[in-house]
Amino acid sequence: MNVGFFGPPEAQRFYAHHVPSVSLARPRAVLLCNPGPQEFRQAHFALRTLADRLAERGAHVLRFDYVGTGDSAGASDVGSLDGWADDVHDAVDELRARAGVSRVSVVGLRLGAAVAARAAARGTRIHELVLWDPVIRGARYLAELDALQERIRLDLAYPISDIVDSETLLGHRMSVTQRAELEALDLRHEPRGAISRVTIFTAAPDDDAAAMREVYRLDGVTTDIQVLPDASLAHPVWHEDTLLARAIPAAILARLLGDTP
Amino acid sequence: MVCFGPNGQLVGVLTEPPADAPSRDVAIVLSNTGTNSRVGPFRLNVELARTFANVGYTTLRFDRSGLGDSARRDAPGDDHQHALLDTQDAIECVRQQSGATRIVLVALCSGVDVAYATARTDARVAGAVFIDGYAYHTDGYRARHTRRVLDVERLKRKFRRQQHRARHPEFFAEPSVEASALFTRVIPTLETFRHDVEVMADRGTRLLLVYTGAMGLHINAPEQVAEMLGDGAAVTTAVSVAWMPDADHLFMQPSRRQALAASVLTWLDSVSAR
Repeated sequence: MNVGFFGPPEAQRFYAHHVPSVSLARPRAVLLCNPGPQEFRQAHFALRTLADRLAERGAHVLRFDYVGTGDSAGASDVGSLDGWADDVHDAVDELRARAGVSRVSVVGLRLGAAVAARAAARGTRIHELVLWDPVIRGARYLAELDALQERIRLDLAYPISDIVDSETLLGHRMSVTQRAELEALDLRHEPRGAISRVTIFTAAPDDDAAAMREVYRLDGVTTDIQVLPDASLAHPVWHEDTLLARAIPAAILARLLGDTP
Repeated sequence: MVCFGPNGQLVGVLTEPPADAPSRDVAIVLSNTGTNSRVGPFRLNVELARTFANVGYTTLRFDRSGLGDSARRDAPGDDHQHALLDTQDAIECVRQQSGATRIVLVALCSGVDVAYATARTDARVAGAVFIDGYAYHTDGYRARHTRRVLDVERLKRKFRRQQHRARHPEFFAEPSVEASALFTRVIPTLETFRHDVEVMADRGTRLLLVYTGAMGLHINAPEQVAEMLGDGAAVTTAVSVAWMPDADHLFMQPSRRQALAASVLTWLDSVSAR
């Protein structure tokens, strides 16, 4: 694995490039999009493990942090969906150059799925999109995180103070503008980019995912849903838990690399 | 980015001061809390590193072997022993990169186990910050705890929590056994802790013990530290306490992260000036 930063000094983004340990007749490249600041720490292990597995099977894999998140440059309150979609665009270019391939598949987890779809809509060339427990409606996502934040605030382990900073969500600043942008997010009604195939993996049946598939299919995009019971960030979990998913990562591996040795 | 340790398998980010920052002979090492990556819960380590660097402290935040982006260490021993070796490597890395000769370790929760074991024996460690590290019940704790049942605000919170649980039972899941088993703790007895603190104090190592409101069932007043450790001159000089009852364990609130950084910076000046 090679690690470093790409982009200009004021917008340096951390990357980890997992180099394939076997060669494939037709090289593959996969970009992983993390779920953004609120679920970043729970998802890191799962995405690193998925990257390792994909690289062991012959794919070039790039993980990266959006501006204002993780190890990347920028304060924690500078992010926006459009800005992160631009980060995806640059990361795809970075991976394309590193792997020497033209086709890049993108896997987005939770909010990362929405960001990847937004990137495609803004013109990033993505061969295949894999959406893992995607955030399809921003309003629903915000409601879930608000309720989780309230549960943490009321936890009896913190009996002394009721301090909650204004304009924050699960530990990160979120301005009124940022919140409004998320509130308006609805993948069912966003423009589609030139994607040939979309696969949606969810850990439980999801009406929003089903609706999104129908909309995409009407647009002529080959879209499938696989429901695989698994650990999931889409279901409320103990907020300090690490995502230990197995079934969906295995299915993503099979979807992207098939029966390659 | 820096890659160091055996085969360069440990991954870290070195945050260096701007050119116009004061020169320091102290550098700082941050690492993992539980299974969090080097970024820290809610980006805590990134924010601390940038704050420290702005006033002249080179700061390395790194993933111990098997965590974050670092590979597992191929060596005999358990995870704790590997973590000690990782920390030795990190100290040497930041010394070489920064030119500083003295090191301060900053650790939260389970990360304290490794920082404590290192600070206890490594003369390069000039200071350590233990955030929600070790605390032990005392007679004073028990007396204060009894009075806790009269706290009206606590009762109100308990009622609100029950209401919230009734509305959203799905958010009250317990930690998964599998995730909890990903790491284990090595916690010293009070006698061992007291002895080790005295050894560190005699050696001139400074300690900052930070306690948040999450530690309320272990420590319920800043004076409990003196009740635990005694009031010997060496210990009194060496040990400082930052009492943060309005912070949660992982510093979810940005304002509490800023308050933590400010407390550590004030204390760092006393270490750096020595």
